[in-house]
Amino acid sequence: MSPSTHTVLVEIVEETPTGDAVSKRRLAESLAVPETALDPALEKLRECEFIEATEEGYRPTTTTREVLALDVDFDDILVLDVVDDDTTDAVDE
Amino acid sequence: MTDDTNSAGESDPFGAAWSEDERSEIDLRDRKYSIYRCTDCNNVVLTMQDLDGGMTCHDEPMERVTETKLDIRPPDVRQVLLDAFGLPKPGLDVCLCVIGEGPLSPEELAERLDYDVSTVRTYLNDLVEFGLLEKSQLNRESGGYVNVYHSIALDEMREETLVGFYAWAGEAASLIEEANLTKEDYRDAESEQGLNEVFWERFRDGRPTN
Repeated sequence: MSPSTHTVLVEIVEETPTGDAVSKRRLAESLAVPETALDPALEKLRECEFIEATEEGYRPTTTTREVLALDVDFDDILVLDVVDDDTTDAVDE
Repeated sequence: MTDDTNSAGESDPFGAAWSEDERSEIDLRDRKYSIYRCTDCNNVVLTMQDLDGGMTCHDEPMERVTETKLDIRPPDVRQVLLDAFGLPKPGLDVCLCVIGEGPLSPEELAERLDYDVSTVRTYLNDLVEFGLLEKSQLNRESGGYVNVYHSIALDEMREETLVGFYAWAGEAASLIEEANLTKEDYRDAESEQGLNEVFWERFRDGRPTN
């Protein structure tokens, strides 16, 4: 059974206290699941820019640390509106 | 698709048209709610709970109301949300579409609902203002920011919408009381104007004028 996206995200953050990346194998061992079971969550987190893939594995982004500081479960996030610095498209209230 | 708007008598965004024959009396004994009346004063209360032992008014038991003498029309959830909370159908569509779908972008939402992206963003912010969603602005490493819309706890949402609706229903009940008083005032005043004129003068714009 695949772990929830939030579980994977929290595990990545806990495994990377110094900001270094954690390997997929290490994550799978920590969560006691096969590596392939992580794929859906990792893909979703990459799409949302919550993690970044590096040569060593995966590391959380600034956005992740901020969202976890809000005590928000990833599974409760309904909409992500990414706004570039030079974008005037998204109207913020 | 563009935003639907509604103002009394101008347009009906949902095409809802209840016919007269849809009015009916309701047997209140098997409803999910209960209405009690005080046999001593005119107090009437509504509760969504099955209260064992009933309710009291000035320490006296209240009487459970079992039928309505006036026929009523069945409420339409779209109209209720619009009237009570100012939440039109596009807002409800956005709300329903995002729940259970996992994080979506406004562009994905717009495509699924066939709305403009700007309409989706407008209603996302309306839902935040309404209290059904919470919004946080987070930084991106590559510059810019991310608006994160997340749901509030279901229990909290349930209670808050009920309290909000009760507040609205209380305001509506006050209007009905006010309208009844206006008729009493008219009789007492022996006005030369017709009741119709007096009533609409009093309720210009749909609310009592001071």
